[in-house]
Amino acid sequence: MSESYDFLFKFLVIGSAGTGKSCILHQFIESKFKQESNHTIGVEFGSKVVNVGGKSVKLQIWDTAGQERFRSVTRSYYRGAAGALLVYDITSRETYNALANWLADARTLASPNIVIILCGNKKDLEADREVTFLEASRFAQENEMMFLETSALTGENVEEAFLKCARSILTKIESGELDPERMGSGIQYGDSSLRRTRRIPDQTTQQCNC
Amino acid sequence: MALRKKIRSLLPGSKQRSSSLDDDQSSPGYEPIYKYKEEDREFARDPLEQAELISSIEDVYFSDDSFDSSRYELKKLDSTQPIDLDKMDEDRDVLRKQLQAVSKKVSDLVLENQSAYVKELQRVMELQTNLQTANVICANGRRQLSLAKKDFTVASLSILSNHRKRLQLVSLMRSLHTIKTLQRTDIRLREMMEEEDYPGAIQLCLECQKAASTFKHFTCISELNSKLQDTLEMIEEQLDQALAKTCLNFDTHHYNKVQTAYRLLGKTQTAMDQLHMHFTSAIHNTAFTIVLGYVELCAGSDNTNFQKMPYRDLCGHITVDTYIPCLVNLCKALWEVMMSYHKTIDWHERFDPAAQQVSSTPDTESGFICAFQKESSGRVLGSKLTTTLKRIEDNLIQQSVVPGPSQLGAPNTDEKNTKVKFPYPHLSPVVEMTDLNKLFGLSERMVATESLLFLSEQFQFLQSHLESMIPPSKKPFLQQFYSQTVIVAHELRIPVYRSVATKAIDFEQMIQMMTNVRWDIKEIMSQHNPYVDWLLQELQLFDLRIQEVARKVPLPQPVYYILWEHVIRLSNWTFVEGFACAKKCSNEGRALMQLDFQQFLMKLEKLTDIRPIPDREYVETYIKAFYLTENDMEQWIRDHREYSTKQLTSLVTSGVTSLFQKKSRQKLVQVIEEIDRLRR
Repeated sequence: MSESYDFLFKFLVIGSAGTGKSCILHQFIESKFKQESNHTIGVEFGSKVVNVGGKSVKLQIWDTAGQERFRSVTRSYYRGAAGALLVYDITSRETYNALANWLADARTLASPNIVIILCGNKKDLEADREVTFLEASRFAQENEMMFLETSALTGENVEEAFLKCARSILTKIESGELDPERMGSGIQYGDSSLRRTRRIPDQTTQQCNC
Repeated sequence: MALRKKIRSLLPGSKQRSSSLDDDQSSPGYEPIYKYKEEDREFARDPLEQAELISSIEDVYFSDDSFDSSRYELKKLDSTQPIDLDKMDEDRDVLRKQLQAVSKKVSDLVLENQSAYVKELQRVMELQTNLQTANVICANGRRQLSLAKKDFTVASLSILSNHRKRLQLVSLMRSLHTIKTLQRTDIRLREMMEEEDYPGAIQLCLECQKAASTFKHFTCISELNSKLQDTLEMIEEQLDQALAKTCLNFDTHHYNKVQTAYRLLGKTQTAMDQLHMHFTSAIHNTAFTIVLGYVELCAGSDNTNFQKMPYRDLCGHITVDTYIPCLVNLCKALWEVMMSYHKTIDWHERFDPAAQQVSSTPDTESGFICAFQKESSGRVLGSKLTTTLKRIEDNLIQQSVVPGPSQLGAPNTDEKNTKVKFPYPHLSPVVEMTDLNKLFGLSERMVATESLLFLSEQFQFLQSHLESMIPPSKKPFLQQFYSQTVIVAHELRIPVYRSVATKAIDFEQMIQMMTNVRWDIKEIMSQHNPYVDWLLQELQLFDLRIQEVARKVPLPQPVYYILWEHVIRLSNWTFVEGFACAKKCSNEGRALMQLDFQQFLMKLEKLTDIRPIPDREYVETYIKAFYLTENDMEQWIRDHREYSTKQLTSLVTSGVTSLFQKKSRQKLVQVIEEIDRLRR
């Protein structure tokens, strides 16, 4: 009855109200677009096991409410998140402008090593675009985030966003930059790799020629 | 050598020159023709002149080693001509001058380069020593590095092994702590026995056994295990004594505990058998004691040992005077035992879920409907179905209190009404309605219900034919029969099958497990609670049992659907009820509820193909209502009457981080109470 996986990552989906966070989660889990979607109350939860670079990783995703009135509630979910999707709506400059605030919240409340991917959602609404790819891309670069434009409607780049984030975390674990055993890292070993000793990067010892 | 070569290269043609000089000087005993002396230098020392002289040397002198100067000069002499001594002398002078100039030049050059050569040689020597030193340093360095590397690796490995050892010891310590607790449990168990908390003691004991089995690799545990087994047996003995007590003085509270304890042991049937024995012996013992008392009273000093006399003989010793009071006392005692017996039966009828079906022998007042309601707590019968059942009962069933054996089976004609009436139907004792493994007679239920449904379908096919055959005046009766009886038949499925789903899983136990969960945690969890696994396991068993039944009797899709739909609904209701048991809850605890429920849904969807999952929103909405702000909450409470007063109250009062002010909390509680009053 229990599923096996190598790692468990805690993920967070944040961003202003109405940017399509819950739809992204729904598309990712169910591979379907959620037609009727209300404002999220508090927080939604979903989990999925994905394959990243030959490792099976269980993603536990907390999709937070974007509305201001839930801020006090949603803040308690930031702690111990390994990765985050920061979502804005490419057809709403307002949601883009709010990114700096969301980012500040994430960096202060979550683990300092949190890996964040910026998602410009509603990519399918090209005609109503208010935020260009280039400026968002620059913003992401300046703030050390990855960046993708997604569409929860068509599903474009939705899975990619989660996978990209997971892959980045995995790389950081392998390089030793992230330590899964540290408290609040948002990362756990699964049963199948229970405390498996991590690979130490190959030591290239050069022999002296004298 | 290379160096010497190099020096030689500085002096072009030096070799030839020197070799020719050597030739001159190395002939021993040979007096040189001319000796050079600095003082009697033959020729000028003018450097310019010298340079000129050198340049005048024929090229052939500078050719190669094989050049023979003597031969060359001799060849110059023309044999045909007479020897001209003057000319020869002149030539000789020239050659000598040249030789002298070259010698001078060589000596100059040698002198000139001497110091540089010495210096260079010194440096070379120096370099050589330096290189030797460097070589030694390198070799040392490498040796030390390899030593360090080895030492470091060994040190790291030993740190690792020590760390490993430490981890093992920590886990061992944890195990030891648990074992210590286990060892101490015995004392607690005895305390519980004294407190007469049998269910608690058994539960604890069973848990201990379970825990002990996980530690069975420890030697000390096997001893504990046998001790626990002894304790369990002792508990059973005490339980038996407690059961015996109920025969004389029935106490509901006490009996509840005893029955719960037996249920935990899975020995309800044994308990019933034991109880019957206890009643028999209770009657015997009290009667014997009373009679013995009277006999001994009358016998006075008689030494006859009445104690060991059989009861029948003992009764023979009762005198006429004591006969009446003894009989009265006996009756009183019997009455008391019988009263306990009656109370016991009463308890089973009211509280024992397993016995309800057996004891649902209907009397004249309850009838069919009551039988159904008893089984499925009364909410499932539609009003139309209720009326139909009532009508069938009134018109077709004999209203006798206890049907005699002669009345069974054959229809009797009620003479007053001249209507055919049937005796009250009875369930065959062969049918097992209490066996969980057979899903409470699911196959028999299906045979009965689906047959009836089949009949009703056939009747519907026949409707047009029947209508054409029947005289018009009677048609309304036929139509009434169809609309009131035939069509209602399919409604029977729901109460018949739902009660199976209701009993298939012990949801009380799930509530118990949920009550023990802490929801006021400070961290977002990533692992769901064990009660979820328990429920899923029960559902899996449920599915297996359905499959088992379906192998013997075909199971129609609607039946499958009703069974699963109801069991899922009940699970979801239990989730809400269990969550409402949380006295304190944090945001993180709420998240854990979501995690638990999501885990349940994920696994459930693999177990059954019923979609959408019934009452899924009922749970999700309840969990999330916790996050609402004060104003939204009041409206929400008014809008969601589907939750009980307890559930609503928990929502408002369980929050640890004071989401609401105390005042607003009170206000919300008042709103809930107000709604509660309206409900009644």
